[in-house]
Amino acid sequence: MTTFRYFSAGKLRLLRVGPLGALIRAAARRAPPRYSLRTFGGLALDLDRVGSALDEPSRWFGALAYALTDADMLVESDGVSGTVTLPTETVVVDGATASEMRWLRDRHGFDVVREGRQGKVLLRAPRGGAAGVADAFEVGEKLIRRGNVAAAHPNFVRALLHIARPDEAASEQWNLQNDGHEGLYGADVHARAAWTITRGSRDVRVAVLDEGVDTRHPSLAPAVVAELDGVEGKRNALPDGNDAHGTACAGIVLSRDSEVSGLAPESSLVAARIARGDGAGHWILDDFDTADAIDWCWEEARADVLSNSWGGGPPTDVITRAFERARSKGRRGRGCVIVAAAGNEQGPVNYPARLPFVLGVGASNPWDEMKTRASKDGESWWGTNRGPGLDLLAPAVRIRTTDIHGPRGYGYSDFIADFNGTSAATPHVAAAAALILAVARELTAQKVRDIIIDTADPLSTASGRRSQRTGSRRLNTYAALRAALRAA
Amino acid sequence: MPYFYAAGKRVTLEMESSLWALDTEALSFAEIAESTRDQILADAQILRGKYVLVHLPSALLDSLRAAHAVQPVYRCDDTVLVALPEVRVEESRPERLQLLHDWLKSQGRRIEVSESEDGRITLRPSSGDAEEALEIANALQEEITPELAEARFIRSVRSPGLEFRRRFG
Repeated sequence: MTTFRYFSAGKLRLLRVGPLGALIRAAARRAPPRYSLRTFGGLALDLDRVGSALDEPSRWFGALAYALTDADMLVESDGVSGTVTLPTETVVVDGATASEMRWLRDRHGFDVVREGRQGKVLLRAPRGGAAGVADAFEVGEKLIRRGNVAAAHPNFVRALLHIARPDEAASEQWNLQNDGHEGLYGADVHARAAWTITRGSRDVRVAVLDEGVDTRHPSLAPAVVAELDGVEGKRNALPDGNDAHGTACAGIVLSRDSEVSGLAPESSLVAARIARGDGAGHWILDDFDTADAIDWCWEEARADVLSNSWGGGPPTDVITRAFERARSKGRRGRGCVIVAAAGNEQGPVNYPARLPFVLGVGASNPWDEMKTRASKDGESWWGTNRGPGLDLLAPAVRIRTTDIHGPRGYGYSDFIADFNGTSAATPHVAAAAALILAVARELTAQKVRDIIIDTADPLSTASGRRSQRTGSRRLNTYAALRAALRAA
Repeated sequence: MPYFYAAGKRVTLEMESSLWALDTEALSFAEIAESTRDQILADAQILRGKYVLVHLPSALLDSLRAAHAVQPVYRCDDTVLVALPEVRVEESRPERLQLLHDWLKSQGRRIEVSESEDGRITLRPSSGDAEEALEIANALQEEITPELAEARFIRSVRSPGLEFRRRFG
């Protein structure tokens, strides 16, 4: 594998590429016949066909990759969305001055291939093949670092698979109703049954504290009642670039799409942006700003439930105390229900999920197993955190939910078929709390928390025994709602 | 060994030896060559606001420190923590609040104090030094034990999203 660096939207991105031939062989090995379609998020990933298309440079993209041979054709594929990205020997520059263009030509020998609209120019490296591809990355990065262009990066050729929303999409929300198509019949949060009681209330506000939420998404926008940017102080909570995590979390709570529905679709949304990605797999959070965002949620935005699909690092009093205030002073003293993700390292539960008054949520899969690296779902790269602080599990594997509207986000669709992790589990529990409060507004946060934990379904262990242990039971929204009605 | 208090318990921090948080605004006041400055920024990682993470050779440290342009970077398990030269204090008990004000008075001009209407107090060491902010917060915890006394941290944690992990392991 080779790693290239380039800038996009002001962030340094990494592109890990490997030889196309090896990728095709690896994909064939990874995808046994039964999973050839479904494991990869319901999208057909036919790398053989992609390979054939890329392998005809003269017809397909001759001007961009005039000397690439089979041997140096390097591609990146996530193996999930079906997109294959091929870096070329050309670089796209936007907004360059004449002096920058001269610098490019004189210092690096790049020639103009084509001038596009609005100041875009496509230039080609003097060398061909893999060396030219490397030159394109190097020059793109140098141009950005010189600071005299609006954008500069290698020109990528992308092979996208046509994404048609399958007719069976609605039934594939196994998390809401598992018909046994994947996993076990009934291994779900019993949403259909719960919806016979309520689909939520607009008077109940769920705050999603995350890296921003696409509050203009057609399936989320009608629910938005308040938004805060605790990172840059913008007037909205819109995410940066492709930061789609919060949008996916919000969709699990209350997407109003008829086919990809949230669990509490009639609830209202409070979006609070508290983090941003660094482009290298980390989130950056300022503890004071995070604490202020928590305080804003309960105090000003009058949120009833706080959904926190984030965590990690040592505890700090400033955040803990803000959560304590939400728990004790929110909802005019009845307390906000606070839900947080346990984490995905198959280790101990993260902070803040392990705080005693926070509902710490772990992951279950379509087979009603606690999600581990070895569980039946085949996602071997993660397992739920567990131990002290874990209160219950909720669906967290291949969850269908909202993605950023338009081309940004996880993919090009407005929806994602395979969001996962305890980040996905947490908003299920937040939504369940919102449903409970829709029918029993006066319940305290502690009572809501007790109901959710006490009514969760025990899961089968490997020996077939039903585990009653706290933390290894899966959310049952219908049972929780019935208990709430009795308690109200 | 640097430390701070959380829930009344000491949390030990490990100081990074070559990684620093650079204040990009203060950088222009440092007495270093422009080309060096450009090189530092070229290798910087995004952090928050005006701060970026940089690896610095020890030869540059003195001039950057003199310009108050760098703050130390700590590690706690797999989390990177950057302390800022700021301490937040909260205290609602009148007796403790009086003790706190007396303590602050005894510190003279070493600490700049601003108090908000909602009773939150923000302290800034006059030196602009984050290590001193940690010391101030710890001294308050050990001598006054207010409800909250904590240096301001920026944390870099592993992204909760699994997309990156799925792609890159």
